[in-house]
Amino acid sequence: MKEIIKRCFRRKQLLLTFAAVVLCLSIPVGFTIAYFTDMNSASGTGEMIELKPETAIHETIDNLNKSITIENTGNADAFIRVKVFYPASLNGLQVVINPNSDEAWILGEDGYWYYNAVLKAGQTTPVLAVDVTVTAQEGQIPDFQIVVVHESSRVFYSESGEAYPNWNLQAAQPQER
Amino acid sequence: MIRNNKKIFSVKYLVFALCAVIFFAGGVIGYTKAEPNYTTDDYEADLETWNVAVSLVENGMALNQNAPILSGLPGALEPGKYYEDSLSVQNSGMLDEYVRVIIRKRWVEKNADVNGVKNPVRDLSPEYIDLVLSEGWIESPSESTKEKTVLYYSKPLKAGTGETVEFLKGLSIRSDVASVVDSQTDETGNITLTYRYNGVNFEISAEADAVQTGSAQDAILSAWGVEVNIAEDGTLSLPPTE
Repeated sequence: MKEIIKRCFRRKQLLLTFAAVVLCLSIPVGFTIAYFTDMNSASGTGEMIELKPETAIHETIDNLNKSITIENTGNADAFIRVKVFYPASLNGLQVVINPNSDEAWILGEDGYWYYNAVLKAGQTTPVLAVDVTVTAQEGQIPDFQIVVVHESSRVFYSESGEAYPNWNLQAAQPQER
Repeated sequence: MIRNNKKIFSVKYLVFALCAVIFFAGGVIGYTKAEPNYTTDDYEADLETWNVAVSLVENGMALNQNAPILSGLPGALEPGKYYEDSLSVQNSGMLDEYVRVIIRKRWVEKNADVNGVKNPVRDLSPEYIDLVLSEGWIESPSESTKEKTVLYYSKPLKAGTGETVEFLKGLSIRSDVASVVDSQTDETGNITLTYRYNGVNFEISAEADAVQTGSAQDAILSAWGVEVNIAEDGTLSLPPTE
């Protein structure tokens, strides 16, 4: 019986001590105030066009002459350039590239013919004509090939809004985030 | 003798206890009396507590909570071109309020997963998403990151007038996003360049927060955790960053 009374007294003492500690700790907490606030949010996603330009070359051959046009078959605007490879030193062969008179095609120092405008999606360039004349007798000139290569570049914009191509696209360095 | 004393003590104790109970009950219960009384009809009165409320507005149309934005964009965007899309905040409450806006941007996969969620593409930089912000807002350099722009409006929005302030004019995708390519060379020496940002979408989210102008400094610190300065004319400014 005495043990029980002793245990009860200790428990009571513990409870009182706990209550006193809680009271002491709550004094510096102070009071809280609620302020009027509100929040609203919204989100959405947007799409980007296909980055890779898609173009197709069209050639029509009349005798040995070629008429070249480039069509933008993708949905991105593009810059176009064309290079014609032929045996320039072959005697008896004369190749003349005719850009037509409206200066749509301009010859660069690197031998490429540059289309002098942005080719919009779905559009086709004017004809770049390759006129081939063989002046040698038959059998006096070996077989030859005239190869046409075309390249396209995405349209990039400077800060001032000026469009320009990038013909030297290289692999990117790892990005820092 | 002891037994008799114990008996007497018990009876006495019981009597005292009984008296105490009766005395206590009597004191608590009190006395009752009848009085004439009159009760009027019920009168109803509408009471309304003033509130702070903020709304988002896109191209002049108010948006509901979690409504979609960017729906006015003309389909797929072309890098390098600027597209107009106006986002504003509006005071739709009954108290003047200070507002801040948090705009988040990131790249997400083009197709949603089985749960209908477009997962973020974390290895692509959101810096290629250019936001054209409106004037009059203060950007917090300490809170803003590459993905998040935090703006504070320097003046309180007036209540009752539906005052609306634009924070976003439009956006664009930087044209040099198409310069980021990955190169692969196969066994025959053919080099394939792949546009890293091809086949992804972008996501913009806007969050508008409003706080009462009364005790604004304390309210902003409590609600947003930010210390601000409020001038006498009510102009809000951020303390200089160290």
